[in-house]
Amino acid sequence: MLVGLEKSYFNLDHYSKTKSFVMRTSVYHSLLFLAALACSFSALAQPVKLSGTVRDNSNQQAVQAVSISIKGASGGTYTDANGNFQLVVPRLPVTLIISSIGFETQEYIANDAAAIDIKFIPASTLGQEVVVSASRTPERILESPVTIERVSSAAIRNAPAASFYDVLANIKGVDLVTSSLTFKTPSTRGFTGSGNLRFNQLVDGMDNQAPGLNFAVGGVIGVSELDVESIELLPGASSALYGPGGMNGTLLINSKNPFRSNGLSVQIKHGIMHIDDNERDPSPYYNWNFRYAKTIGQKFAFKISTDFIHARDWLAQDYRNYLRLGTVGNVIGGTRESDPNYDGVNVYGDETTADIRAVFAGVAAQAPFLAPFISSLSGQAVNVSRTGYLEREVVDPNTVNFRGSGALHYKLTSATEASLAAYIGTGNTVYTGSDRYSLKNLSIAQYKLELNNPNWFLRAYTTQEDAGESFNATVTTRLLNEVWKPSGGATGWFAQYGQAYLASRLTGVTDATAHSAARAAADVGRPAPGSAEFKQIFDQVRSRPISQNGGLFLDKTDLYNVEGQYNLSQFTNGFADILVGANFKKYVLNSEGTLFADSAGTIGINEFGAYVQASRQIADRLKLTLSGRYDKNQNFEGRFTPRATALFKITENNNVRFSYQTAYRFPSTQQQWINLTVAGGVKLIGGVQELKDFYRFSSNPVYSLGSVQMRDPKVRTFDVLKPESVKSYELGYKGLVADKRLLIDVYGYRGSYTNFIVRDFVVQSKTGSPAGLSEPANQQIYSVPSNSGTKVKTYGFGLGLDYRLPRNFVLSCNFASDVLGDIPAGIASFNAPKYRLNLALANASFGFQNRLGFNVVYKWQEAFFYEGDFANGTIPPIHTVDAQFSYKLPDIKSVIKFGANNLLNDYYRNAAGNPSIGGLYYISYGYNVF
Amino acid sequence: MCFKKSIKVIFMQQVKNKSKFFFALLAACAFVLGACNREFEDTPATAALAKPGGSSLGDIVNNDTAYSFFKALVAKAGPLAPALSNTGLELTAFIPNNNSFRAFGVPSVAVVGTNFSQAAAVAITNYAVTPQLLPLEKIPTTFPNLQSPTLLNPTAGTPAFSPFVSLSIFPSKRATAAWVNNIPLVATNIIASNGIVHVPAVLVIPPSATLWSKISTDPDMTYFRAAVIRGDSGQVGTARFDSLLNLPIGPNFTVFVPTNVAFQQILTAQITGALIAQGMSPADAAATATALASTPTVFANPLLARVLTPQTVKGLVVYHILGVRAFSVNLPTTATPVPTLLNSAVPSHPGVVLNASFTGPSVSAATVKGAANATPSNLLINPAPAGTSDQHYLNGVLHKINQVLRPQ
Repeated sequence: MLVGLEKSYFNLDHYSKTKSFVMRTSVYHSLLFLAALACSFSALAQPVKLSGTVRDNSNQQAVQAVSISIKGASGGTYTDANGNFQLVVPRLPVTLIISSIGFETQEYIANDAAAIDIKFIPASTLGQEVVVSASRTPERILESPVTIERVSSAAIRNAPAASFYDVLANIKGVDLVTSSLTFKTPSTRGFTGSGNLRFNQLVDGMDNQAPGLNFAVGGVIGVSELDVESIELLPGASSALYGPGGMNGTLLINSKNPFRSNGLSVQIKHGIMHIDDNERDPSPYYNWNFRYAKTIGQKFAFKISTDFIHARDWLAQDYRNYLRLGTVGNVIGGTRESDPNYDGVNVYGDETTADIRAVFAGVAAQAPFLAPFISSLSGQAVNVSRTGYLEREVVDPNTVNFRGSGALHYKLTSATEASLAAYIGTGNTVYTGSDRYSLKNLSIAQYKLELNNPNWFLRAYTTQEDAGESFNATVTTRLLNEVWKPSGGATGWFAQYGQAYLASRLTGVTDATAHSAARAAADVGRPAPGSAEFKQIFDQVRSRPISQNGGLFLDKTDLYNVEGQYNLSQFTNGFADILVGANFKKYVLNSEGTLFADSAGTIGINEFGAYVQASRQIADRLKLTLSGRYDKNQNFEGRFTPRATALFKITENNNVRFSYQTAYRFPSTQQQWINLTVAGGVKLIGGVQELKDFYRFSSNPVYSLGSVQMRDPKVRTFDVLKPESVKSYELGYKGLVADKRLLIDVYGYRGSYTNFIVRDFVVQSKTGSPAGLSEPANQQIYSVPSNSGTKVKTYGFGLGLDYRLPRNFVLSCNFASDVLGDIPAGIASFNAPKYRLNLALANASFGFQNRLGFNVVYKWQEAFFYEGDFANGTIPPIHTVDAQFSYKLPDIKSVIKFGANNLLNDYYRNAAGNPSIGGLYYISYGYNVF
Repeated sequence: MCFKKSIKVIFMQQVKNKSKFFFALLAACAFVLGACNREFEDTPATAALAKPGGSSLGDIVNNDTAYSFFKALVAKAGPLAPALSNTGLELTAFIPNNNSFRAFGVPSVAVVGTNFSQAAAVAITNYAVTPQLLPLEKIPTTFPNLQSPTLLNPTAGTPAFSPFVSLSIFPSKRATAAWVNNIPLVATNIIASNGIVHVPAVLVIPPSATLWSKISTDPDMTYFRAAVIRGDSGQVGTARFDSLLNLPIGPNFTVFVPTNVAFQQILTAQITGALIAQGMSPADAAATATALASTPTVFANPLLARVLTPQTVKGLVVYHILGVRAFSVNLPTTATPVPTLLNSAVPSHPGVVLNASFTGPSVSAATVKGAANATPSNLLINPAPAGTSDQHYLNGVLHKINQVLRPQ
């Protein structure tokens, strides 16, 4: 009996953790104990099978995935797709708790086995959501000790965005960098960019970063829109709980549990895009989603979901002239016609440039009588670039993305659930890194085995990356030019150009005319874009590995991770709630020398970490939490990151939060081991000592690029590369006011970064002696990661207001600001607008039988200067309007939605060198979308 | 109306009346903001140099009657004349006016068509134009001049066509005057929309023969010719000066050719001295020397082979050649040493000393002095066609002088 009592007690505690808010007072525990006692005695009684239906009281539609639990006991179930449920209870009478996000929680006392008909009343209050990620335990969003944003499946359902990822763009303080239709990188609090290294994305607890390519692939792999349960976003530093990387935020996407959400769901979305596009004709957009989940018996459930997107991609079409200096530069005036050295931002192949005075000198030597004339043309460098090809001519316009995931869930006990899940994603997309990369037939798979208990979890997963036929568009196009006509040599492109230029000048034509004549002459034989010859050469180059003078990545880097967490609160709650966890991570770099310095074999990188969190309620109003995490990477010294938070309850539903957070990141796998030659012959290398030794930095020293350019070479020595870290303070308030009709969330923060990881350009003499530095031909430029000695400071604030109007109308407004403190230019790549604003008016159900829904969102952001490895440039202010209108057909469980992203079709870019995004107009049909 | 400035105002209002604000703003979004995104901000293009408007070179030739002779010459040249009306070009044209033609002996426009063949007209008109902008300010004052390509390409229309072949013209400038080749410019810096006009005092005729064609045939240069051939003994190809001096395109020389008498004088004196030193009586020595030196074959005389070795004679020859084309007008007005081709073998050699006196833009007297000569040698000034100084050839200019220059 005693054993039985204990068991029941623990189950109850589990229940209390998951379905309600953490119960802590001793009074509560006594109650629980009594309830448990009753429960265990009742085990002797005859079980009764209850069944019923839950309907929305406002429109009589069935509500699915509603939690039906037994008050004061363990166990429970969920409604199915038709709102029906069945539940075996130990005895009668029993009190059922019926709850679901967006509805008022009800209690129902069942006295007999008659069918139960629940009229579920939509909740009319804001801020009732429960979040998990802020403290790694469930808590009301109003009581989160740090700023957190949550996007529920209901919010996704009513969002105007064509893809759920786009919903993130309307969250306060979020910047979304769009490298492609399906490649979007969210960031918060600055330092944005494609594949942001300072922002973690976790999907069902798994790090979503491609281990070799170093970008989060949430838009490529991950869960189907129909399988998204919730998205939680922690802006700002969050390493203390989630480990290295989350310096600027952590995004957690959770999928639906098949026990809870089952049935068949389908969503078919067809749209049109590229209307009035300068470069592309209008073309269709297809997005098909499918999800099926089923519970078999009481213990087994499975789900499968797919998400397929096919469209012609947004096109990067910035053809302005770019002044490239290593990987820094800026947009300058001039066109292909006016500037012989033109290098268009999204024009590739024209990065190859040379001073044709070398050709002039050859002609002058042959024809000395022309020497004075040639000399008069050679007063300054005559830099000429090869003729490039536009992005649309080299990058496959078809963006295809297939995402599939499946999971088997098995309840080992009523509290412990085992699951085996697989997530695969494959397709074509485009990424902006140091160059533009066409990710062609990229595939990434993640496999996970997880044991989940309310008090603990154990998770093991692996990420298997295969770059497929991905290639560097810039490098490939440059090499294509070398194939059809080599740049150098006596008969090379530049020789032909220089000679034709001089020949033209000798007829008296102007400089500009001579240049265009010379280009025409040197371009004889240039394969026309799209021609069979072009395709043949291009395919030949892009399918040759980078290590063999091609453009292909052979990246098959993998990640293995094991982690676990235990909530010790059941033992320690008299003193504090304590949570401990640990993980071990292993990267296996495998690019066959095409990306990493791994031509001799794979490179392993081991990392482990452990964390502990203690929280304690002090009096009624104050809750303090302390967390700390220690991580060690084999290539770097260990790091400890603490976090302290305080939540002060002013009144019920009104809380002030204060937090001190730290975060850090180990240099990415690329910042450790990359070994790649990019545009202009610059070698990007990783920061590990082995690479510096390989390139003999100690015996043949390197000099800072700036000093070499100033003709006063200064030796640059590198300290051991250290992890980058940030300390951040945040003060915030979240509360319901005005009769709970207005939800206010406001925060302000300050961040201070140390050992900021930057790339330094250094020069080594190819001749081995410093004298060689004076000749550009003898300079080998390296880009080496190092820690900036400059402290980088940021600060900002955000304000969110949600106002509930009568009849379900909700007005929302959020405004956020992020500012980078004064630092020397070129260090930070902050890349965030100082101000941004979102305004929304929405109603998920109104009108005839509450069948109508709509959502209009206006977004504005201020201009800012974007600095990226690929391109720098001013991003003008952006204004967009997204809107959707939907109509429900409850009889057939369907909804039809008309929507538009960028309704005004006003093309914009949100990062330099990235594509121009226009309007996407769609109509979607959803069956059983919940 | 892009919103940047109005944000603050909006937020003030928001506090007062949120609902109104939202609706108003959403409406505004839909209707007002249509064209707000400025995707690619303009960047200032590199400022292109504005071209002067007005008449082209062709307009000047065609419309200004001061150039009607040249207009007639252009007409005679036909389609192969330079495209002076092409405003896409940047040229400098040394266009002779009617007086320049008269100074050359063409009395009237009527005879232009008959005095010049079409080939000559093509050559003269193209030779007058250099494919670059050379305002007077850009014409150098340094010795000797600026070698400029012209539109006259002797390979044009031949199978051996090369765009890098061009006959050069040689503009120069000093304190008081400017010239093209050795011809003074009487007007300069006439600006056209596609170039600049300078007017030479006399019609400028392109050279058509090589230095060697003159040296090898002129009866008063037989000693110099013999000296060149003696110096070339044992050499082949362009190591031979008879080849180099006959190469129409490439070399660029000034050759000071001593007269036969000058050679006879110095040879006689030298041989006489040598014979006396060997014990011959002065009278016999003088008679023998005179006989030996009376013919250019003296350079090939076996008796003198040990004295007039090929190397010695070649040294003497190259001491008479400059590696630049110096017309008499390019010579300095104060005695100035200038390196000769001898300096390529003996870099420290002082070279020759050049000096010229001017009357107006024309040279009245000019000298060149060898290092071992007691007195300067005179350039025999007669720049008229087929004269003795400023004889212009494809590969250089030739001045006759009255002494042999002695390097040591």
